[in-house]
Amino acid sequence: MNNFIIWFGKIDRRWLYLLMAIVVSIPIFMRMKMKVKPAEPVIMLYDFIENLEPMDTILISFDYSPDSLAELQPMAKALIYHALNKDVRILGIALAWPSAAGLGLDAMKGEVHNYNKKILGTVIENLFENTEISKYIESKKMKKELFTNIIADLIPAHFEDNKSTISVNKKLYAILEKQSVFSKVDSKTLKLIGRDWDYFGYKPGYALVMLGMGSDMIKTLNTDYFGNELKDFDMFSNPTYKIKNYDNISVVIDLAAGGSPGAWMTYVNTKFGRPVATGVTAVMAADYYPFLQSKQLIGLLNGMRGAADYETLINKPGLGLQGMGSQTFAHLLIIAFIILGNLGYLASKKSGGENE
Amino acid sequence: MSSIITTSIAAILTLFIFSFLYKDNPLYKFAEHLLVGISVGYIIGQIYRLGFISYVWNPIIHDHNYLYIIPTIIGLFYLGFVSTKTMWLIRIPIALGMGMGAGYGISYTFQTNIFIQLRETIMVFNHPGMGFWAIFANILLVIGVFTAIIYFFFSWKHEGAVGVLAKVGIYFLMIGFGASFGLTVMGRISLLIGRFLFLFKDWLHLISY
Repeated sequence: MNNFIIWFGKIDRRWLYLLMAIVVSIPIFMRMKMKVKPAEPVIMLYDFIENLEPMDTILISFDYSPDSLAELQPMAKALIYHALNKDVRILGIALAWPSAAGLGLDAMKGEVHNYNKKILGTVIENLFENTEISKYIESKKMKKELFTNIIADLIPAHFEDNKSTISVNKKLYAILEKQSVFSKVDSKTLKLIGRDWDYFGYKPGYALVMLGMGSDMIKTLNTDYFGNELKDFDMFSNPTYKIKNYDNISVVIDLAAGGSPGAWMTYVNTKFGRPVATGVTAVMAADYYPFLQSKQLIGLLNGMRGAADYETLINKPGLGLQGMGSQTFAHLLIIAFIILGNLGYLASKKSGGENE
Repeated sequence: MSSIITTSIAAILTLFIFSFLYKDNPLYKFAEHLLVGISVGYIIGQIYRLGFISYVWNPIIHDHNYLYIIPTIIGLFYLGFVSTKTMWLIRIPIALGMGMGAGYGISYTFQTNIFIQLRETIMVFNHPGMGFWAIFANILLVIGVFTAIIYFFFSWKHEGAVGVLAKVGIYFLMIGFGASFGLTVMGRISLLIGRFLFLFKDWLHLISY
């Protein structure tokens, strides 16, 4: 046993990498599901959003780059999904990393698209029964393609970013227009850009933009990611419920892989007195727990586990929950490595061998 | 079709990076340099479009707001580094940036990181309806803050009562570092899981959730 421990202490690290790869892969292939008990700081943020009223607004700041995608993108998707289903308006911005612009867009547009697709899916399915349209549908395959195209092109054209390429059969498009299909389904249930959500993309200036948004968002940001003038949008111009500054934002949620939560706390919580929450990579999480205790943060999502917690609360499994099986076994393996490594060190020390 | 190509490129580059775990090799170096190059190129493109066009070109050329010329010129002083004769010009935008940043930041940063934190440590026993464990946790917090500060107090020699308190402070710091290390492990494993899910699910379609 002693010899084994000494041998293990000197093993080529590449075998450990291989072992780790196997341990991480097996739960993925076995689709192992782990039960997750959400942590208190995650529940706090969930409860906060759960208690918001329709037409309240949250601002999500995407302050991470693709290397932190595995931890923070699932959080973003879960938060957006929750807000959409609570009819809470969502604004998105990226301040710290230019490369976050695409990630934020993917999360926001993707979730809004899925939400609208779910609602419009039934309407479009019914449309295919319409005789005028059904004559264009020659096969199941064509029906599926049309459905995908309508979702991909026509819905964005009417309800999202108005930048559609319109690749659907033009005649069919004309019929859909003629039948005022889109005005029929354009009820309050759909999430429309400029009314229910908007995404600003990356805005250079960091703290200056944070400060500027505290006095006037239109003046500071001017246009959104898609080039639309903010003043043209209902959510920024309607006298009853327009968003002017942080006073009209219920919470700022910073999804971060750097020091940006500190800046948001400094400029939004301390200066403007508005609630701030954060979702951070696990590496940084320990730094932010003191701010929970002082209530400078109203919630904290900690790495992939934080995403899994939130997915559990909203009952929508995503990347966070998918990874929990691998995470658990990888941790057990690392604990075993630490114990064996230390035993190996002690054994070699005792036998008078090398101490390192 | 295009998504298959792009996903495959991403997957192959991921494998190139993973190859470093075996040993350093040209494929790893290629992927590393490609990442650095693309990142810099992407950032320059974004800053040009969202910074230069939005905050310089459009206001001056399209909106005829000529006041923007002043900060633009000050910003251009950063390019003074190209010659030793004009190097001093860099000091102007740096001084302005530092002054403005300090002016905006110092007061609120102190409040956020020192005053509010300190207040919450002092008022910690005053919250009504506290249970036993909450009080215990708060006592622990106060002891932790106090002893950790003592450890970083170098004006007195760490011996006698000060030495004992500093030692307690070290234990609190060690627990803090342990928690950080544990979370770091979790973070790194999460990234590995993310990549594996990408390889097995998005690229090879070996699994579906």
